[in-house]
Amino acid sequence: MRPIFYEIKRTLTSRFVIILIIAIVGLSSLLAYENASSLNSSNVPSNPNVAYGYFISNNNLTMVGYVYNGYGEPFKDVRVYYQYNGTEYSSVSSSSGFANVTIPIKSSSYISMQVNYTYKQFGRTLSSPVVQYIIYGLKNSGLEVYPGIYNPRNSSNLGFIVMYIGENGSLAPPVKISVLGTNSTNFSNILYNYSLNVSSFSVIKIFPPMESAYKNYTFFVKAENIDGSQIKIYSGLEGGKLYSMVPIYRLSTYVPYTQDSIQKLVFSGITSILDLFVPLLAIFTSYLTYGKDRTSGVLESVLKRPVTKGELITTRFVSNVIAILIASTVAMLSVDLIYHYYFSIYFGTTFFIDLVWTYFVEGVAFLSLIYLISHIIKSQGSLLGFAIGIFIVMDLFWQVIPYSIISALGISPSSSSYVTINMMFDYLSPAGYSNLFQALLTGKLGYFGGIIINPDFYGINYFTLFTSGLLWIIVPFIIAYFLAKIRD
Amino acid sequence: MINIKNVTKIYSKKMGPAVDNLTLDIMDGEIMGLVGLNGAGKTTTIRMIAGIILPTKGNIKVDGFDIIKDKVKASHNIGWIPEFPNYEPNAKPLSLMKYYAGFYENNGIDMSKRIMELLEMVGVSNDLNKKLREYSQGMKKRFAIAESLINNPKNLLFDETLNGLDPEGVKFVRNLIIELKSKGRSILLSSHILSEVEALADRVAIISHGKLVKILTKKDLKNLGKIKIYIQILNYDLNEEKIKIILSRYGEINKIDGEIVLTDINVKDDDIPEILNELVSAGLSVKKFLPVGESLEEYFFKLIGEKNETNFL
Repeated sequence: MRPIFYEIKRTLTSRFVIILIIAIVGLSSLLAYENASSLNSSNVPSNPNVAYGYFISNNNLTMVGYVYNGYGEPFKDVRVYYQYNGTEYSSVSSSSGFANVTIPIKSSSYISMQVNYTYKQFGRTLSSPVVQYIIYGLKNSGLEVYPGIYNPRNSSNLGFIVMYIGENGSLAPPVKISVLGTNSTNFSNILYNYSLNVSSFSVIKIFPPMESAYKNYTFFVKAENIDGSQIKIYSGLEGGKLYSMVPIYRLSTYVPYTQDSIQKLVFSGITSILDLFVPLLAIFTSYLTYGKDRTSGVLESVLKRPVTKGELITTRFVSNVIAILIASTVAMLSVDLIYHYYFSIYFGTTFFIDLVWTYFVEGVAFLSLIYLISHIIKSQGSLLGFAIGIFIVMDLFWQVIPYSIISALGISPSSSSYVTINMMFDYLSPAGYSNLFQALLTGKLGYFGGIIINPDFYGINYFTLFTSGLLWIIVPFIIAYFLAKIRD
Repeated sequence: MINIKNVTKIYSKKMGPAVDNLTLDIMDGEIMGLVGLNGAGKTTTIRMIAGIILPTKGNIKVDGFDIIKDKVKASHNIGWIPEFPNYEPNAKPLSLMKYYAGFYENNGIDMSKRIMELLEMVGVSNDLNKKLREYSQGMKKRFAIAESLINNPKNLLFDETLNGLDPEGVKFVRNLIIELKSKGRSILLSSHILSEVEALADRVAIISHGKLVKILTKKDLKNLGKIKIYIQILNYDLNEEKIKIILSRYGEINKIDGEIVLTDINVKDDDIPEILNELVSAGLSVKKFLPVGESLEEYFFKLIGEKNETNFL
């Protein structure tokens, strides 16, 4: 086996490196998933809604209320109030979502019912507005359509609830539900037509498959019997009228994500994970595979072979660099794929390369530092102490240090000195490198991304960042390389 | 062949040189013993030859290649067995051997076969699934011997190798050194077991405070200091007067544990057999006649002026 392959295998199969790579990839993916899924579902309402229907039998009116959540699923423990002729009736929704009441009536020709509901949220009792449900001459509501529910599989796609209350509360006969879409106000210009045969239901959720081409269409629903005859759609909330077609408006809330919004998302959390774990991986991998071996004398068992000290330090360094490269690249690929799944957009090539380069520089710079220190400090314990110290000071608390200094000096956050000091600290530790890239790409500087600047004005551009990145990688390693060659 | 020329090693300017202007040649097929007190510079010398540390002055050549300027070529022909072998604790012997083998050109040799042969030879082939951190110091030393022979080097450096080995291990190393010598390898053997060095070495370099004090040849080793003759004669009591008359002419007679020890001998080494002739001619039955020089240990202490044995490495 060629020594370099052994070194790479040794680095990549060490328990610490495996755990850290899994942590880096896993946590950044988890955060990307959390960001994407919560953003994706943030428009789904958490409050309940009620679909109403009714049937009349023997001077008794049964009001049917189906309480549902944003996805159309049953919502229990909601009290639904029905007020008729000054008397209030109520029922609490069961686990199937129904909250029905039976009300004795004198006449069924025209009934005006005040309906609303109350529910608890975070310990508070909230109440919906009171609306009017009109019953006008029919023994049962038949088919009603309630739009505005969200597809749980893709919450940017909307759907609707179809509720059927037949005679004496019977279920629906075979019904053909059609969804028609148009991009104009002209009904004859139907460009999207989706039909579904359903039967034997009182409540059914329908999420028509939606292509992005139809996302801006306006949609309508119509219903037919199985023989093709039209079924009128009732609407108690719209004055108790029957409609041959009811609007369900848009079936998509999809707003395309741009590179800009994706970048903001990355810098809003994922970079913090990488800023913590990539230096951790770099510092302790270099300690475990080089510094510790050097200070404990293990390296001597290799150095007695036909290999120079320069070659040995270089092969170990390269094997460590590969671990950093794998961690940052796989993490970014994973985040990219997750965002693509949710937002249908990949990172731009430049942005992807920038990100990988940023964490490559950050990691390799810390590697170089530990390699350098390994040739200055002779004891294994002291080296470990230094490694921990470097991690704590130059990574973990590095972002806090400039704020402490700025606060101590009483510098105003709106002053240019504030920006300069922040920027200076970002150049002084590899941990600040991602901040500089964030400033270049988003125009925001500082760990909390609070200062909006013109990066070019402060000399933050690709040339300065690339140069400083290269210097961070090369300078400590070159010094370490020469110390390895000229010192025991 | 190893040529050490005017080599000095200074670790710190505050301290004196660890090795001071040392010049030493170890020829092919020769075993060179290296003895000295703690801190005499033995291990430093060996580590410089192995290319682990750099000489402050002077140069070291291994088969003509400078260990600094031509490290790769020089190291191709060095095998170093350190006093305390230190390996990657989590590595397993076989994978580590394969890694080490990767540094050498295999010249058509089946390296996997050679590795297994070496591990079997040193007696660790039954412990290949153990990690090296689970090896005892003795097992590590056995492994060190195997990995040092991986490229069949022409020059071998044994630094206190016998230390920490069980009697079987000591015997194995002793035989291995003799076998390597017979194959023309040059061997530098540093050991605090001076009797072993004396028994094995063709020459012994004595160093003190980093300086070479003396190099003893095989002949010198046989005749260190003044010779004593151990004599046993049958029926001593009956012939005591006759014996005393003869022997008193050649030296001082001492009687230790029923044995005559003739010291302060006043004839040349080459004339010693005449003493035996005279005893036999006088009709005495000589059971033992053993001329012995001083042991290396005795000689060493006398030379170094240090009698505290505990100071040895």
